[in-house]
Amino acid sequence: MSTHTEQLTEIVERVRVATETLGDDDSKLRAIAFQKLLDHELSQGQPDVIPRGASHEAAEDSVVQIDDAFASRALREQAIADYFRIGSNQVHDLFDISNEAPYLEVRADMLDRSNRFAIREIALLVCGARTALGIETGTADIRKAADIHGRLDDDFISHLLCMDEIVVRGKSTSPNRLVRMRAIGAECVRGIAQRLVANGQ
Amino acid sequence: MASVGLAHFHEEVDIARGLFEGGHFQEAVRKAAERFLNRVAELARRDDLVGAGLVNRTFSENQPILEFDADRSSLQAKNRHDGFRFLSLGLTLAVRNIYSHADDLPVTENEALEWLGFLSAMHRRLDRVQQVAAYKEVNSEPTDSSEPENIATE
Repeated sequence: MSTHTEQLTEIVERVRVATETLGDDDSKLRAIAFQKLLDHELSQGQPDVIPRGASHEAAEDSVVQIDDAFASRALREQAIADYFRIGSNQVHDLFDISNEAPYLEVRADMLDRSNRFAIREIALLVCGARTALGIETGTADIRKAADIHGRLDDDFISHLLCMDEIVVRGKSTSPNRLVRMRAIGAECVRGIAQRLVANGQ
Repeated sequence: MASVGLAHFHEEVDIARGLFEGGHFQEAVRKAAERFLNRVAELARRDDLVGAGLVNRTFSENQPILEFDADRSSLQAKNRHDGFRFLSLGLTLAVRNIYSHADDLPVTENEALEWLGFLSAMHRRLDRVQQVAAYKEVNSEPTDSSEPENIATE
């Protein structure tokens, strides 16, 4: 018996036991109570939609969290390729995806010469890849990538705050603030990724 | 007052330019409305959803995939989020669906231009939306685990 079926059986049994206490005096009332309680129980914790990429045949797996959707390397590769609209075989030109969190791996000289614009490119690439994999981005993630690529400077946060393509949330005193990609950022980073892979990254 | 035309509209509306200029007004509006929904699906990374289901899931009240404000405790933020969802739903039902399934609805040039202007404004607003990376599939209340560890959000 599948896990999903087991869960349904458990719910039905739980509802049956709960409505048993109503007694046999009014079977119609008990039937109504059973139905109402069953509807309530079934609506608890059920997804409102089938997850991305899942087929109707796989609907019973629909309680799987989005995080589980990228458990394999191949799925991570495809998700990043889809996000940046590059070939899945080109993902490795930009990121190391051997772990669940992607790591930016581009040649430092391929980034913009200006630190400000290089950090913009790094921020968009890091935030884009993590968003594609359902992982939120912190300023620390971008800072680390900028440091590894030799582009970290004292104005790092100022550079991020100047960007219209992302939103930096959280207290200004926090060392790790949440970064979210805006629609215009998600769309413009495709061009950056495509340029980098085209230039032989 | 300067006259407003297609040239002033959001670039995403350009997809309807050829149809509009060729006099196919109903098809121009339908095409532009379809593009809006496709853009929402692309940004939400949900090619498994369409139409009203896509809009409702993407701009869900409690578990959105796209949002304008992470903190919607203020009336203004709630209005911005819910209002955009309702506008998008209206666009889906009253424009995209109607013009997709009806052949006998005359759409004048002026009316088409007005709808395209509305779609342009919707795209401009959509430009500002944020992608929620770690959104949850299960329809439950948000938990702290939806935010990355040690990342300040407030």
